[in-house]
Amino acid sequence: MGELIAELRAALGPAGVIEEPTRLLPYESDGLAMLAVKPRLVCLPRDTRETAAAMGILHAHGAPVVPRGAGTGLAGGATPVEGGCVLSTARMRDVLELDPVDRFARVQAGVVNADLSNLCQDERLAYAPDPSSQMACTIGGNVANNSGGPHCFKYGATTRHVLGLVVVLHDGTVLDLSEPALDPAGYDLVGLFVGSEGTLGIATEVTVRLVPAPAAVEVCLALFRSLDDACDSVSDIIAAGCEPAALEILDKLTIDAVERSVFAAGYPREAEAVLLVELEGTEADVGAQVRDVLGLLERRHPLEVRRARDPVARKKLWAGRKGAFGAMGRIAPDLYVADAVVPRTRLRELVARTLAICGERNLRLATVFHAGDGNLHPNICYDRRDPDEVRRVVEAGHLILAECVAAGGALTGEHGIGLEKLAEMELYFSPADLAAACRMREAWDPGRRLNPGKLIPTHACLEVKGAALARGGAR
Amino acid sequence: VSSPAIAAERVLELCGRTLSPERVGLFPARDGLPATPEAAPRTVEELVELVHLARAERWKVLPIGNGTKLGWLRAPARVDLLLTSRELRGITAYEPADGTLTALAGTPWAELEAATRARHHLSPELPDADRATLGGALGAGASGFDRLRHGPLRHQILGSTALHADGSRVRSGGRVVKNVTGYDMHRLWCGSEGSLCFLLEATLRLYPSPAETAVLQASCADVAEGLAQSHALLRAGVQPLAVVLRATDGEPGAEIAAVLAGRPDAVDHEAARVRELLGTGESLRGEPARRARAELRELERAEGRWAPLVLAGRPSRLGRTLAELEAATAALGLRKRLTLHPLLAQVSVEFPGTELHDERLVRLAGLLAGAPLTARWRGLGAHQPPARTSQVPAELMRRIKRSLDPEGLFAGGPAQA
Repeated sequence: MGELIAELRAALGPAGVIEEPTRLLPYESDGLAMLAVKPRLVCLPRDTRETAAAMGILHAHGAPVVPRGAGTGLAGGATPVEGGCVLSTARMRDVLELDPVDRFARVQAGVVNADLSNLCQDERLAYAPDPSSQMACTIGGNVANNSGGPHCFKYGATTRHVLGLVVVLHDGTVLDLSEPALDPAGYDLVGLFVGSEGTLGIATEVTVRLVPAPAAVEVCLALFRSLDDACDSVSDIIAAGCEPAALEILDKLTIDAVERSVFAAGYPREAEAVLLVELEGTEADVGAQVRDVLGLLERRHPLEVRRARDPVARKKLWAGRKGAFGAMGRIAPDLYVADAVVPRTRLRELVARTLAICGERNLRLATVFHAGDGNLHPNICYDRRDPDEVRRVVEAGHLILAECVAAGGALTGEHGIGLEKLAEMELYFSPADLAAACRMREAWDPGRRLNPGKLIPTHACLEVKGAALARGGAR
Repeated sequence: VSSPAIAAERVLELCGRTLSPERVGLFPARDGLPATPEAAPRTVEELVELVHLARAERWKVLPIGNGTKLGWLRAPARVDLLLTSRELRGITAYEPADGTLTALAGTPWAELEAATRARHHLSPELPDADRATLGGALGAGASGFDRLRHGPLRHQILGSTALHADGSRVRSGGRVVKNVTGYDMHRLWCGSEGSLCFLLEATLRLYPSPAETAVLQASCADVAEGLAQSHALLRAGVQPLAVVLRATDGEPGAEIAAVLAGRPDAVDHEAARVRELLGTGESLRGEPARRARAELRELERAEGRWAPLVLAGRPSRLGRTLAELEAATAALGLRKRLTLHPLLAQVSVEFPGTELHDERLVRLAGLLAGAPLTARWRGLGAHQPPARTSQVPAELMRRIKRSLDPEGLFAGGPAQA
């Protein structure tokens, strides 16, 4: 232990290694606070070179490594492993290149999502993925989780915006794929890496695509008497071929929480659901899109429709949505933020099922979701001091996922699998699917020391290893 | 050094025990690949049986669709059997309100377009759509004429089922538009040249069908002016589906075309802006616009064969790329025709009157090898210059290949030594 720390200190400097128990506390969990494990130590390299050096040392000592961005993940992807090392990108916060002509930026992995977006504004460009945690989450973390956000409805998730990467592999080898090429030279390693949840390597630099900031943006906020009406409106908008930049729904309990918080937006008491529709394009195009959308909203008899064009007024309409998770603290001490995807044709039905599942277990559910993508976020209120309530929350979370998978959906739209949904991976994938994933993982990290126990159920990997040994084929 | 190819007669005889005679035959020599036995299974069970047979006989297998993009491949060292998906065809699921389409690999691209056209735009808009198949397009990593707006094909694939070398069926992704469950293995199949698995089925995202299309065409003094005009469009906030620039050595000037698609009022507005910037020229709507768009889409396969060279780089370096190409072709006395997508910085180069076995093309490949751009050659067969991949990614690709296909059943691909 002492030797390992001495070597790491020599490579990273005194500020680059944390081992004091009190300073390790913030690293015990990510946003999934119910899972907490104290790491053995934390490494804080400043760049690719230091990361490679640290990874080489950790490899030589056989230490498991858990990569960490800002720790805002909600699936336990950055939960440490017992006796392992957390490798944090918190000191890698430089923007290395911003090219407004070729429209890309090359940044260190620890750059905060919102900081990159703000930096692009002067060039009238934008970095499109905008997770709810964008004020804190990092680009490297976004890469690991293939993060989304409200505007992914139009622009797609992180994977569509990553042009290149520098990755440090399990043994400290540097994989440089940073040149923003139109097509990969060979296998699409970048496409595979994005969303791999820190199990294949550690991204230290990311080259991202920047999109032109729209000339005009308008937000329509519709208040409905029922959640069903809001869901049906979303179906109407998609079926009509409209292409909003974002389509978001908040339910009654979320509205109540927002109204009792600093994010209060003046939603009327009788509103059971809020639908936010953001439209963007040229001035003329946005005007025409708004006319279409208003016509479609009217079909479901909203209580009221509010509109905003200027940035300040738009921000106000978004305030309730952006502040929804923060506002939940008003209604419960703890919040289990679930994440699942359903086919968009079954949105209304599955939203009703999530409500029923929670109702049957005497749990309060506040739902906020990326309705345009069919990405549900049932937020179950609970108190972690009540073991029975925790048990019911976990059970409800599992049942919701099982219903979504049975309906043709998926386990996660943007939070990832992490530790949280390991068991459910076997609901979604067959043993053959998981075995192939294990083989892929071992091609990158033969010892499975990178974020061990995450993303793929461990026993599936052990079975693959066993079969390989039985064949006499050591990999 | 690869072992010698298995005698075609034996391959055909053994495959003939699984498939009826009309589905086993010799695929004619093409694009640098010699005449090779081909088998066309009609069911997954037949396919699995053939894969087991090939493993037992230690054959090298190359999965194909109709073979329209064989010339894109890095020439495989050895192929004993072409396994075609063309009999494994059909749309598995199309739910218009979900905006997704799932189909078997052998389904022709034109069939996918026909099924979805009323409500959706299927990206990419590929040339030769009657013969191109879903699996073939994915294996080749083909992107289309509409890439500027919708991105490459690898961004359209949402999930897949593939048959691996050990006979297992492996699924990744799903049939929903947003999904981060597990590794995006389907992204790896895209552009893998069939070297990792046999793709059985894939799900693609769809886009709302644009209500209106306009094609604006104009002449410009030369390529440089066309490039300047293209970038002026972008600066003016126009968001075209495509901008295409054409020029041929020895012919005066260049032709520029901008394709606009979307809501009628938005297309009107953008068309007015484009006319201002491009000056006088043709402005097509309705059926003439659709015909012009269809012609532009086929440009990469003008005269029935793929442009032999595709160059790509950064948009800001496109001028330098073209200068390097100009110097190299002039030195070799090669006449060229350029089809540029200036806003993507992609250039397809044809050499009118030059055969693919002309040694000047091999010399040109050598001259361009050191330039800071990606040069992809098609149809040169064994003369195809190797892709420039540095050591670490190349080794990782080989490890991936070994882990998924340890016995090397599938031929070729970027990881071959």
